[in-house]
Amino acid sequence: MKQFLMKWVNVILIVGLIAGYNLILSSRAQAEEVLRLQAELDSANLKLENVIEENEWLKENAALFAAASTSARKDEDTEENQEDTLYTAGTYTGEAQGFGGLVKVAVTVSDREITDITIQSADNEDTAYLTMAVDIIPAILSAQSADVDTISGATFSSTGIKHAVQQALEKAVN
Amino acid sequence: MKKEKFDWKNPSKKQWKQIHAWTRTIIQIFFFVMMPSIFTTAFSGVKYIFTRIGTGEAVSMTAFVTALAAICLYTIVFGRFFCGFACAFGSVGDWLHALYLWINKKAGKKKPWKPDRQLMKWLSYVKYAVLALIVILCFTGFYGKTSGWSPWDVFSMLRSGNLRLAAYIPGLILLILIFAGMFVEERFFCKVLCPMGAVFSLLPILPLYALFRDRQNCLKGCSACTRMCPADLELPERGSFHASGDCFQCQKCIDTCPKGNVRCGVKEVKGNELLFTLIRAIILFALMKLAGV
Repeated sequence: MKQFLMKWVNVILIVGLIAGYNLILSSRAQAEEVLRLQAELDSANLKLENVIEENEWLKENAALFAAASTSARKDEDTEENQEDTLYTAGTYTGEAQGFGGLVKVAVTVSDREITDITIQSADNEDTAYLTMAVDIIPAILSAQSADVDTISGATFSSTGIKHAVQQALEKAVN
Repeated sequence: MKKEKFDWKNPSKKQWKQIHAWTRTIIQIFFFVMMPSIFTTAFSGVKYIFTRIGTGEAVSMTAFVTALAAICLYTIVFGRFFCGFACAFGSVGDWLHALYLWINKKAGKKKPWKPDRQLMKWLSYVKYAVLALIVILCFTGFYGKTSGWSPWDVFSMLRSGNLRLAAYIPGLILLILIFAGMFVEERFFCKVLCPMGAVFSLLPILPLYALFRDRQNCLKGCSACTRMCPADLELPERGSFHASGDCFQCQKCIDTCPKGNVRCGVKEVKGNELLFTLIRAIILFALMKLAGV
């Protein structure tokens, strides 16, 4: 009986500790978020003040700068035209070895961006591992590159996704 | 086999034993084919939790954690039925050991060699050290560097037909040693090394479906159940809370007892063991499907 109760206390303690740990982390994250937003707001206010000042200054000197700014704009235009596009827009597929077999993905790109990645098939991957592994997709999208860290705990499946995306991007590159 | 049984009004004790043994094998094959990764998935939950805490990140309900929670809840209610009937690793061990017994029988050896019982008892604490070691490795972030060492990874790879094992030689060697152990000693891995088994052993298993015996009805000096038990357990008296976390729920003791003294806490189950086994298997399967394994 004593041992039985002890085991219950242990289990409750462990679950409680993990829950408490999560709670602390989320409250910390919230506090950080508040600070970050505050800082953003401050810098935005500062910028606004600067812009207002600049505006007034520009108004005063409008005539003087008119000629200079038109020539500057011309430069910008030519620069933009010269910039190369990264990809040929479209949807490309790629495949690579995952844990138990081939993982196939479809990657959609615009001229310059990877816009979407979907898994077309991954029949031999374990579901639990695959659901972990797909976390690599947002990482790839935000890095705009397949060269990101794999998901620990689901190394095989996420490596499969990564390599499949790499293969697809090779096809998409100009 | 199954059909015949319902035709017999009263199968003999020996026949019941065979029916139960075959049912267990069929359920084990079913889980081996359908859900071979429950063990690794649930244990990945343990690793995930400690890896996240180690890096100071939040522990979210990923598929691994859900599977871990589900299998732990199931075990608290039904005992380690998963170990006895559904774990792919344990099933392979049972088949290897059956092969060992068969070879011995063919060779005319009445008593196959067994490791010393006292030694096995001491060794059974090793699993807690294995669990502690893996947890510490995860927490400190070193686990990622030991990837070629996991015999369970190698086992999963072999099972799924993934044979690119070049980077997994240490794991492969460990796996072969484990299989050698399972061959001569029933459930060697489960008793001695399994870190998931260590987690299960620490769970408070409810005295509902765990196995107990009525000791006062026993034949004097009889220890048939303990000798048959793969974990060498001496079952607790019925009505107590001392359900052992080391019981795999293989249920061989039920049919072994000459007096029919072994039964679980809920007395309606007695005599309906077969039905109850099927119900537990179905609940486990449904639960694991829900948990996303």
